[in-house]
Amino acid sequence: MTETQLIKRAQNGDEDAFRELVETHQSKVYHLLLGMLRSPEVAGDLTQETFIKAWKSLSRFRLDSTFWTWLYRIAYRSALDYIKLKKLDLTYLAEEELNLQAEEKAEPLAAVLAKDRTQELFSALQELSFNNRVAIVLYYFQGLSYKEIAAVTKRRLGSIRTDLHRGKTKLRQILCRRWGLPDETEGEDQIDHSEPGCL
Amino acid sequence: MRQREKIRSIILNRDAYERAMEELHKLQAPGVYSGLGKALGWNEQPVPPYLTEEIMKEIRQCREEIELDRRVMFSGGFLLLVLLTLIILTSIDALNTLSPVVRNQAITGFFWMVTSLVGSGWVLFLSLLRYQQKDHSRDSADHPLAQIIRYLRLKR
Repeated sequence: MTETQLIKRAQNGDEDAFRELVETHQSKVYHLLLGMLRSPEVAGDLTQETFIKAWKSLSRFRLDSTFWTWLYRIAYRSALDYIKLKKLDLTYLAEEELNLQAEEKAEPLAAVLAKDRTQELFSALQELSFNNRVAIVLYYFQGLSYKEIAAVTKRRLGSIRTDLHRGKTKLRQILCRRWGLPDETEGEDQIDHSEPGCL
Repeated sequence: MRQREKIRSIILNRDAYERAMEELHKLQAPGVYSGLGKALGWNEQPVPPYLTEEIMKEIRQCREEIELDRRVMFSGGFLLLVLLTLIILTSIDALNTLSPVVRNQAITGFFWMVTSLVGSGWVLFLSLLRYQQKDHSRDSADHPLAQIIRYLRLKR
């Protein structure tokens, strides 16, 4: 059964069709939220919220965009609302909030190294402002185009390009600093610590 | 460890970093975890196993609540209609005892009261409809009332 058929059946109140849609897209939405907020618990809660909101307004979905783009829009707004409501300064979230450390039980070396890299990337992303981080996650790690990012975030293409450029430069600076590597761009676009986590 | 060194050398060289990031953009897609993405740390994380069940449970609850709301609305509407009919019948009965001049004044007053009530209700309905249409263009999935409450909370 195609996704359009599933959506139409779900719009007519078919729960099984919606369950299939949830199972197909929940991982994408969860990873997007994890990239934006970096807390597995919050990402799980907001994934749940996203799908419930999607169910409630499914009748208003006119199939004029892909289903996942529509879900991403709801997830993005949910993340924004969460940050505003909690008044979070996400840049300096405590490291222990990142529940991505290797588990206590013994694991193969490759798995431990993969977790280390995930930890490193997520804590580097943590130092970026929310908009820079969203642009980086959506463009580079989710492979979305500028137009798709603009559709998800409802922001101008120019702002997205700027965020992406700044985010990319800052991410490199952060990784260089963390790994003790010399940074040839030092002084060009320095990380401004005076505005942590500004939206 | 070799992969780590490779990543370090990419980050060290600005051009290589730019090229690698563009390559990453081409390789990645929602739900796709390329080798380069994984090397940088974008690994697939386990989705909480209870998520689907929790979502479906909430949806079932929502449906029940909507069904209950519908019943309450229907019963309430029916009760209101009965009350209104009773009031009209009683008013007609009372009107018959009045003199023709007073009766005309009462009928005119009643007419304008009903008209203003219907008019206000219509304006409210249209405003909500317009808000909902505007809301749809933003693709927000909240109920308009929930959005107003959230807006007020955020303002505070």
